[in-house]
Amino acid sequence: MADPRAVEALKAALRRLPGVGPKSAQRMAFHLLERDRDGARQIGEAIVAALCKVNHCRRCNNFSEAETCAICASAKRDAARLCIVETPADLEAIEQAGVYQGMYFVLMGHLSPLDDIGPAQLGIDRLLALAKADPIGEIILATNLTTEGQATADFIIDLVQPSGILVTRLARGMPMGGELEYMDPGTLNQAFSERREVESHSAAARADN
Amino acid sequence: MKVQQQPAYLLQARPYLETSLLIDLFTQEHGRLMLIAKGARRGKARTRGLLSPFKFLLTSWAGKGQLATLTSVEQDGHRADLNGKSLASGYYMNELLLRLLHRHDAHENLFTQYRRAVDHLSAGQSPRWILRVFEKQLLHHIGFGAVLVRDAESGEAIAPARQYRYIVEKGPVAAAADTAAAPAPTNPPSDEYALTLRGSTLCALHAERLPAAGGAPENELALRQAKRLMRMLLNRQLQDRRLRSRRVAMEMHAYRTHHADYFSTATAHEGSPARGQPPP
Repeated sequence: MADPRAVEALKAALRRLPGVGPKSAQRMAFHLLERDRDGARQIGEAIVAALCKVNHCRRCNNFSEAETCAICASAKRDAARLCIVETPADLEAIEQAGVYQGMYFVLMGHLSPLDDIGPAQLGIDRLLALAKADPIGEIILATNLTTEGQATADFIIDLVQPSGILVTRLARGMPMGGELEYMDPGTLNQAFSERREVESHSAAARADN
Repeated sequence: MKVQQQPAYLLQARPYLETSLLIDLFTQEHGRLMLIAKGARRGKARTRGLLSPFKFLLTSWAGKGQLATLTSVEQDGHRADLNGKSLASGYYMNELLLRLLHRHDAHENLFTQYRRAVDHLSAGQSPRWILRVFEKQLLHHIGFGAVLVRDAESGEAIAPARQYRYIVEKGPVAAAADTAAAPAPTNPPSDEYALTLRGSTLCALHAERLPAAGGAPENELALRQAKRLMRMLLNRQLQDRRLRSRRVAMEMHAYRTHHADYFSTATAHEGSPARGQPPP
C-alpha cells in the first residue's frame, strides 16, 4: 500500500459509485487531491448536506427535502390521478414530457425475484394505503416494459383491482420515427394487438375544443 | 472462439459499466455461459428489448477466455410473454439453472425441456406439474436424478398402490404392509432426508404424466407429493441455500391473500367521489 491511508480510504469510497473500478477510482482521487481541492470540498459538503436533508416524501415516496414534496403539495395537480413509476428518473422523464398533471407514486425499484426484491421493499403497503385513503379515480401504471416492470405492474393490478379504481397502463407499440422493417417482432405484435380506431377529423376537432 | 446463431434463453442480466449488460445465457449447445452485451443499455440499442428472460433467442458471440462478447441477437418466432404467476414460475426455473448448472457444461436435452416448460407456461397452463417435470429433468441432467422405477432395497418395480418411504441418496423403499392398507395420509411424517409417498406418484413422475385423466383427487395427491419430493431432493443440491425467487413468490402470495379484502373493509374513503370513471 504505497498511498497514505486517507487516500486509500478515498479510493475505496469512490469505488462504491456504480461503474467505478479501481483504476477510475485512483484517477478520480488523484485528480481531486492534486488539481481540484475546492471541487473535492464541494462534493464532500454536497453529499453530507444531501444525506441530512433529503428523505422520502411522505406521500409519493420520491426524494424530497420537505416532508411532502413539491408535486404532492401543489394545489394545481389533479389529485384524482395516480401514476406509478419505478424510479425518480422515470418521474422526471414524464414531467419533462409535460402532458401529465396528476400525482405520482415512486416505487424506488421493481419486483426482482432473482435479486430478492419483493413487495415489502417497494412500499406497496404505502401505495395501498394511499389508494384507500385518497379520492383517486384512476391509477396509471407506468412501470418499464421490461420483464420485471411487467411483473411489478401485474402484481399491483392484482392488489388494487378490488378497490374498483380504474386501472390503466401506458400504451405500447411503435415508437416515434419507428420504421416497420427494423421493428422487433414483439413490439410489432403489440402494436397490432393494441391498434385503435382512427377518430374522424371532426370528432378529433371537437375533442380539442 | 466464434459462435453463430446459437439458440439460447437469457437467465439473468445485470448492468455492467455505463452502457453494457452482463448476461447469463442458457444455450442449446454450450450450456450456461456469461457474455458482455456491449452498449445494450444505450437508448436506441435494438437489442434492448430482446435481452430479457423467457424469449427464445438466436445469439452469436465472439471472444477468448471466460467472458466473450455478444455480437448479435435475434428473436426466433414470437410467443405470448409470461405474466403474473407464470412469471414467478419462470424466475424460479431460471434461479435453479443459475444455481445448479456449471458454466460451459452442455445440456442439450435439458435445454429442450426448459424450452417446453416456458412454452407451456406462456400458453397459460398450470405451472404445478410443468415445474415438477422440469425439476425432475434438471436433477437427472446434473447427475442426481430421482430413483423412480425400482424399490431401492428389493429391486422390485414400483407398485402404484403401495406406500413408499423415499430416502435421500438411496431412493424409495416399500413401507411396511400395514401402512399400505391405511388410507393415504395427505401429510405423512417426513423430515429433511425422507418422506412417505404413494407408488403412483413415483410412476407419474417417471412417466411425466399425472395418474388420472380426470381424477382430480388422485392428481392432487400426486402433485402435492411430487412437490415435496422434488423440494427435498433439490434442497440437498442447493445445500440449503435459500432460493430468492421462492421467498419473493411467497411474499407476493402473502400480500395477495392478506390484502384480498383490503378495500372492502374500507371506511376511510367514505364521501370520496365515484370511482371507476373512464378518462375523459
